[in-house]
Amino acid sequence: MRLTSTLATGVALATLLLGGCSTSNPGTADSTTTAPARATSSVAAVANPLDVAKIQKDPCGALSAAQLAPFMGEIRNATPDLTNGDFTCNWDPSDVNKLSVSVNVYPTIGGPAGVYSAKTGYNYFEKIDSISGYPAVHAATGTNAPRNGLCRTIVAVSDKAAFDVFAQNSTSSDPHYATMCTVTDQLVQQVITNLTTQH
Amino acid sequence: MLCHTSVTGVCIAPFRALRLPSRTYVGYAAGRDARDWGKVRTMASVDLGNGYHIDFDDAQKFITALQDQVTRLQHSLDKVTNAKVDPPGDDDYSGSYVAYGVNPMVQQHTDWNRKKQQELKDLIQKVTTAVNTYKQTEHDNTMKA
Repeated sequence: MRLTSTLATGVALATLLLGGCSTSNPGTADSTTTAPARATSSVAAVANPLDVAKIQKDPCGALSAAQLAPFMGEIRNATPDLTNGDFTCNWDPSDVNKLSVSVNVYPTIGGPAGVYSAKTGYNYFEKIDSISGYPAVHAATGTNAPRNGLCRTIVAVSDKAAFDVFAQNSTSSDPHYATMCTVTDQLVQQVITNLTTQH
Repeated sequence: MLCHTSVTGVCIAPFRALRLPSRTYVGYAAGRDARDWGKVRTMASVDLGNGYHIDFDDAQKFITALQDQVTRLQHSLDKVTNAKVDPPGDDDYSGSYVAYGVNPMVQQHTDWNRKKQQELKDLIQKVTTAVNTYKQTEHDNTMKA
């Protein structure tokens, strides 16, 4: 009886997780991006977990000016925000017409499952191929997101922790305006490389 | 305080912004009579629209203030839309609250925030262009003299 109950709970949980991985973007077909087998693997333990303690303490150390320069040129400010449980760094460009970048660290979000459950906060949420072996999603809000100059790539780097890179620009002449998720994907990859090599 | 642009409740007051009938004015400092306009020396100003002008000398401060405001909006957008936005509880009602309540609000904020960012950027561009044109004219006049 107890086993049945546990199994039923497991099935309900798997169903919930499946429902948590669809794209809901106004103007486009709502496509569920996960199959049952993949959903099971999506909550599997993260291989080669990374320790985010360093960028939690110093979020602005997650990326260097040289790594950001190809996307945002010269940096005007790098501002950490460690208030109200946030572990954030905001990089602002000297030229306001270039994109700005933020990194947020989530030390206790709950790994991949926690990342997928964040879907309810976005009108665009899509599970993507893993980045450097770590499960990742694209998330965005606003009209025509993410093709209108903003995208957030969230990546789970352990069974507990995740981080994201958020890039935004309201200037439509920015060459990255319609493909902002490629910027955030590349920067996520850089952060992972930095975390790996800093050990 | 004159409030030219108000974003997220913060009033941006153009430095020494004055409603004046003319594009040029001089020494309109405290204690100076309005009859002195044009008598001391002519100081050009940037027309910001809606009757607002600022001294060219103050243009860079104004641009910096506008840039700071764009930055604040960008930081605010990151904060509002990061993955730390949680439902108030674990119950079904809280889930619905996020799905049908917070999400549309966040979308609206996103659209409003980005529109404001672009308005400020346009104003920065306008002031920058005016300053550059003024500098070029000054330079040309100096060369002619």
